[in-house]
Amino acid sequence: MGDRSEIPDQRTPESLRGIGGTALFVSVLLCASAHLILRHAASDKVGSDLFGLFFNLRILSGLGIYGLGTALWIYCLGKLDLSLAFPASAIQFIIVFVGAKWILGEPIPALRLVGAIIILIGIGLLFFERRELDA
Amino acid sequence: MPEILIAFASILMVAVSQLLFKSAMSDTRRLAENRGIGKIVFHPKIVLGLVLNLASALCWIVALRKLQISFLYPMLSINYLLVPLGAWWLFGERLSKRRCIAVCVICLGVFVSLLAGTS
Repeated sequence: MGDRSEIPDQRTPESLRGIGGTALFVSVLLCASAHLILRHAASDKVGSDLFGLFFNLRILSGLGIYGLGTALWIYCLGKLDLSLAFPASAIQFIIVFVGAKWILGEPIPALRLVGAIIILIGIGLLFFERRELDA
Repeated sequence: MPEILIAFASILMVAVSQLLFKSAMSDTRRLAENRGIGKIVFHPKIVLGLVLNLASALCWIVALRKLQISFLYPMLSINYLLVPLGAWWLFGERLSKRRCIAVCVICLGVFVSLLAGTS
């Protein structure tokens, strides 16, 4: 019943369960992996000079994966509403938390676990959204 | 205190870049002749969005030098409200009741996550 719904060209009525949602998940997974790789590389302090840091293989692959994730993210925006895709991208926090814990061995504070559960509830609400029946 | 303004600018730039990306993809959907990948990559809105993302990262680093992480990081959750509101306001995306609730829940979750472990 929105007074703004008469803009047919810009409507992207796909749900998160379609190809757009899958691409979104892969995109966010790539960006999260890039974060973890960059974090891993930065914590090593291989060569404290800026040149050595930038032309490190892990830094470069991290940046490359990040670029790939961003490209896929922009593709997703052609399929999904931004007001759906952007909140759903918060799943990146969950992926980074899990990766930081299991790959980098960083401790996860209890409060962060609570936050992660709250984020998951929100994403669950979006995932099971019914596009046709909203009002 | 200009640092807080720099931090806020950094956050706003991310929101604007997302709106620009979305707007660019809507443009390319509408104009059939614009479907080539080159036309998307070099779309002015995409380029501007990428530049804003880079500027945002630089501003963030500047802000981090002066302000406390425990104060700065939770601010990032604002975008989870701002971006959907912007999409509703600028593109007329429909915010169902369920989506509004989900957006608020996710914003809260991000806030709580970033509150933790910065001591």
